[in-house]
Amino acid sequence: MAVLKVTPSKDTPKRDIAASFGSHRLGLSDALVWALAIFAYFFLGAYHQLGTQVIIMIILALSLDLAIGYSGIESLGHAVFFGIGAYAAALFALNVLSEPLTGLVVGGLAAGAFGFVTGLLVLRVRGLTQVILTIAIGAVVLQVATTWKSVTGGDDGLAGYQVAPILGRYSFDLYGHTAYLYSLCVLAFVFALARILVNSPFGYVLRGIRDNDQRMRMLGVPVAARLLLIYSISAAIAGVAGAISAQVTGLVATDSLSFLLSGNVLIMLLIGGMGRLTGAFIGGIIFVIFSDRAAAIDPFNWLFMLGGLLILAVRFTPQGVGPWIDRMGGYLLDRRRKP
Amino acid sequence: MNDTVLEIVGLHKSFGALAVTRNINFRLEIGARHALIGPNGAGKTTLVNLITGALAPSSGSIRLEGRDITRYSPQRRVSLGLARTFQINSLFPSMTVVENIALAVVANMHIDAKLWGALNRRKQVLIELERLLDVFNLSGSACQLISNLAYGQRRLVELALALALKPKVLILDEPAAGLPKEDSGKLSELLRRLPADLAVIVIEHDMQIVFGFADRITVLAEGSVLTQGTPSEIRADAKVREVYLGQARND
Amino acid sequence: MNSYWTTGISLLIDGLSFGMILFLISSGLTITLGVMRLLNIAHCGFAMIGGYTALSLVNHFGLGLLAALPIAVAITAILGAILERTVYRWIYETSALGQILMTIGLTFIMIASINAGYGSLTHTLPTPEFLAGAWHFEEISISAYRSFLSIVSLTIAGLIWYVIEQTDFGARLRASVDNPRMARCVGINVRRVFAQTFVAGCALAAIAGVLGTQMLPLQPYYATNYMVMVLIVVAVGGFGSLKGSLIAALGYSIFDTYFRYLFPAAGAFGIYILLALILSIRPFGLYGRA
Repeated sequence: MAVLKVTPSKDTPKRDIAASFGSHRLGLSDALVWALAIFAYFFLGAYHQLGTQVIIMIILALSLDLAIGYSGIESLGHAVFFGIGAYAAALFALNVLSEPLTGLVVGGLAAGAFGFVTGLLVLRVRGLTQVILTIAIGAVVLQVATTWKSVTGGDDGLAGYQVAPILGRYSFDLYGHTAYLYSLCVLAFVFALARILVNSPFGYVLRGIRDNDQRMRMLGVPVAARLLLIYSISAAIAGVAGAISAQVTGLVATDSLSFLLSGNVLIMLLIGGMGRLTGAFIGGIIFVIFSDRAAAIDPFNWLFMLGGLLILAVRFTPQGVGPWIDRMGGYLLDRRRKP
Repeated sequence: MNDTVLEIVGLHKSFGALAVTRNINFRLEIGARHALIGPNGAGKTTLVNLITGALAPSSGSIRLEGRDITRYSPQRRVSLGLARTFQINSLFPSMTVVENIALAVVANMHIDAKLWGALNRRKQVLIELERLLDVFNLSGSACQLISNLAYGQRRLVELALALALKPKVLILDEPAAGLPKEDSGKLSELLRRLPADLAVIVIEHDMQIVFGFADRITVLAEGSVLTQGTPSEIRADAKVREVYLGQARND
Repeated sequence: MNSYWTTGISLLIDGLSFGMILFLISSGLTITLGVMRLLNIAHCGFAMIGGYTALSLVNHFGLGLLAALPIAVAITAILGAILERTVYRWIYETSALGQILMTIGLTFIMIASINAGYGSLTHTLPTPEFLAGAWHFEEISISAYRSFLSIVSLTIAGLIWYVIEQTDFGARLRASVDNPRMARCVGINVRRVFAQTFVAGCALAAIAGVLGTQMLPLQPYYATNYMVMVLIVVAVGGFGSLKGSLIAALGYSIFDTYFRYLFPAAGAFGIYILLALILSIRPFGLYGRA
């Protein structure tokens, strides 16, 4: 009779086990997306700034996806990290060094550190209480930024800082060409990082926590520490997005900390689909471009439409349009297996 | 004695004036097959919760391999080698069978904080997964989502998760509950094949499984140990007949 | 009496009246959270709708504030009842995150509609003439309107207390907040109790919206701008606890009023630090349960 504890065989395991993981695989689709983004550079014409805006929002949505989609941390205050990253990068450029890459790191670290500290509070609770806590923290920071005029410029915003050429070579131009490519490079880096993260053992542990945190604890995993880690990472990525925004626009306003921004990112993720990385891309592109176009025509009608769309979207496509596009496009996007 | 893995001394738990666990002592040796039985309300679940750390005892101590774990968190006890299965399905519903088991393997290998190196490219993980899938005959449904799995198969995954932790002590909480009759034979077979050096505590109502599996039985009644002994001693014990078997017959 | 006392008392009245306005808005929200576990981001929108309806009644029909109040409240309550039967049926059925997004959507629609109808300017409702100015007691001068507001809202709070503690409906509501499943088992129609409470909550918010325009002036983004404050009150008070909301609202506004007076440069900073402290000690609020 076979005993369960057989000595592990020296053979390499069958490949089909590796293939039965729902990991995020790079495929032709990703190549297409990136090709398109670089291609767009030559055809965007006057819209490079909008393109940059899209990319920044994709990075922010990616960071939120790591928290909500992959780890089940329900945050409606992600703008805080974006704003802190933006202010940190701007203040750094103003007072210390105008070198942009260091500025990105500073923005990311500042936001990550704030994520770590607030995570100690936010991650103690779950569900609605968690949502409200994230909203409340957002309100506190917004209030501080509005009040502390000597540092943040208050409602007037923070401006007047210079950003040196990237790598001492590529300076930011008036048309936003450099800014577009710069943010695209950062997005590529962040996306690669996020992919590695979600496919790693840690990434699977996060999904396990999202599904059933009690059971994860009973597998001997220190759940609180793991959640704190991903929350800090997610905050740092949001901070990097904010830092780029500060560098390419030359202005940080208190808007960057607002509840509205937190809500909008969540909407992007909802449109694109959560827990699938690509959702951030789809949602970011659709949301930013539509809202820019519609807002140019009539900001308040756009708000009305957005409200209506939001209700209908949650009602009828709770998974977002991501899976939908998957099904339609097939090879156009990843063939990631989705429950 | 050196062979003792788990030792429980004078364990006591009361909620206010209500004592639900009273002065429980027992020890488990390497490779023990211990059954915990007793009528409903005898305090089996409370005892399991005390051992796993879901509840803190009012007094008494629990030792795992000589180390006093009475005050340890449930999670720490697991990483020291005290695993359990759950009565109600408690898996990761949006993940596949192989991913579920992989989580336990990851926890056991202490790579749960590795931020890079894709999980499905880690050779040791894959080898271990292949072994567990073979043992539990789950290879065919490796890609299935837990939520699409039949009840009996979920119990297998539950067992696979527990064994992936390579525990020293395994607590099986009613492994046969809700299992169709034809599957409980398979379960007995599976239980017989558990690693020989693993100490197992099983809580079960199905007496066929209990008497077929255990080499020692503890009978609980009203929170305290009524008697302990080998299956044949328990079978012959008049008190047990009265308190437990008699009642079961009347049900 | 010295001037410290004078200022102290007039600040207290300011804080009290503002706190009671906050409480009136929070009361509906906290019940919604307690019974249905629904975070209704659109709740402040009902206060806004009440305020704007009164604005129309005052401007177009020449009604006084106090005459417009019951009509505006009734109209808001009817709107609340209609929405509860339609859009909110969908909202109840989705996940927690979906609910939040849907109610944000509803809030957007409210904001856009108000803007289309009234423009983006800020409005306040006129104070009735007999309540204009201030009352003077020796050296203390107290705003008549603020005092009136405090008295009216304290009366309403008393009424809420009476309904909840002394009536049949209140008993059913309390049972539903405590344990919705158990309430259902003993034959309480929790859905219906909730619908009625929801409408009452809208009406209370509308009262606050109409009476509180001095402190919370009307503007299209009313619905989102003040929501955060109300959410904080509810979180600090604990979901489903009216008592908690009352204490949190009063504590919030009175502390905030004094702090801003003593340290004008620090603004609302003090209150947020205090709230962060309270929530880190009691994440589920003063009267909340896990």
